[in-house]
Amino acid sequence: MRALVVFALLAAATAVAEAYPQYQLASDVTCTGCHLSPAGGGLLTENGLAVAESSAWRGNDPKFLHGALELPGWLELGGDARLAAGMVDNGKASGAAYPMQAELHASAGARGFSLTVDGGVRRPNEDTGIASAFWSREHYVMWQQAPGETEGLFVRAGRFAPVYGLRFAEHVAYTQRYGGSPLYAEAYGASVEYVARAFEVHATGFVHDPIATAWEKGDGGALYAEVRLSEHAALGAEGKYASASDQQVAYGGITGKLYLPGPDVLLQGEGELVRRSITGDKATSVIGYLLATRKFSYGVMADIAVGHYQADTRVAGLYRDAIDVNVHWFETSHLEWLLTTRLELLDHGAGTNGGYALIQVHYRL
Amino acid sequence: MGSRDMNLATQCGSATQDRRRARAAVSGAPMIALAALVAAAGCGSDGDDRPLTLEVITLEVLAPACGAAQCHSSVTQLEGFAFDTLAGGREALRRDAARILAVIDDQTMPPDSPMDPHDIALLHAWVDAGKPGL
Repeated sequence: MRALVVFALLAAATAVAEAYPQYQLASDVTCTGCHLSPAGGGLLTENGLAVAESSAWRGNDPKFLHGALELPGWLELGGDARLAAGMVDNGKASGAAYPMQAELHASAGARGFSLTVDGGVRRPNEDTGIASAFWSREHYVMWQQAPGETEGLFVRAGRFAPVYGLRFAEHVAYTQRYGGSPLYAEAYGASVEYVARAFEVHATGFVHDPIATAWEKGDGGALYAEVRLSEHAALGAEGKYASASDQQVAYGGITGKLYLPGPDVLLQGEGELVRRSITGDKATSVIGYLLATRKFSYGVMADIAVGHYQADTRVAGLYRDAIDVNVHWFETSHLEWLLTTRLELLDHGAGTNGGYALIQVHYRL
Repeated sequence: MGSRDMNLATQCGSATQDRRRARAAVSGAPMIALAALVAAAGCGSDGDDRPLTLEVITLEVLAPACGAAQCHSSVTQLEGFAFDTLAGGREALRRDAARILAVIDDQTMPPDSPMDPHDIALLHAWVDAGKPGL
């Protein structure tokens, strides 16, 4: 019975297919090496399709609908569907299933200008009804200084997630869930972004969505800058401020990426401080996440990560740590299977412990 | 390739394996600094000095545990509850504080991750104090 309750309540818990930054540095690329967006995620470039194809166990046509539909050069189409099922444990283990994502993506462009729109379904708002299930998470216009290239200036305006920190596909990473880039962090804004092999900078000013509710309730700005210290190492700095009617939140942190060619392992880490100001109180949170990734033969990629979240630095023991193990299997360039597991310890195991083990399937159109 | 396609050739590194190893070794410092920042995070007082206010209960306790966008937020309003804003938390707690505490106490909620005992204790202390701010 409990499993059914959990299923019913969580059936629409959603996630969004984002980028796989695990490929960065290990493949000598920036996000724009594989994605149309300078922030990564979403539609793939020609090279991104080739990487998806070469990383998969079985070869097939990586293009939209397996190449069945020939698209003109100015149009890119795509889509993502994800669902997951398995066991979750919040102190009491139970079954769970998560329809996570069902979205179509389109981008049309010429002469450096493009319009990118996605549309999909999510769990409807129970107060406003079924119409709220259909939405567009991202829609923006973009100007690119060097069309078709991976480097240069990008200017975007519309609804998108302000670029902040490491942007993993798994939104449960502590720095995303408790930091400044959780699920549905999209807002309306404008960004100026410069991407080069030596460095990249993303500056975004945003206001919260006044029509469709989103995670972001504040207005403010986000900045992310990353410098490649060497061919396989990068250091980044991040900052974000959002002022809402009931709180002001300031985020700051650093990121690091280091590819070790010998063991063929990519390390990515992020440490973050969050300062929350509300009426009568100010609280500081500390968040960290460190991920090691290795790609294997047969389309397999494995991650091992540790996360730390201290919700309020004033309270001893108010923290949790996570050990995440993910095994991705890219069966084809369109089909990914993911075993994702977490062991979560409260107060170093002094509190109730939890975790999950889920199988996720992701189909890219 | 269309005009928006990227040039594969620009994606290929040309350095030797030895150069890569040497550079990687030199540039490990950021990862060490990052680990130090994370490791430094274990401080705090033995007691819980957080104020017993509706703002703290909603925005510092319930929002991160229950108010993720896909859960009891203003995005989805699961069960009619939204803990991601002060207004939503006030409404939910006014309507059903006893039920909210009950499902937390019996570990029905939050279903995906254990709630911290410090936070549960603070919730009870706030109720015992007469739910100030509600």
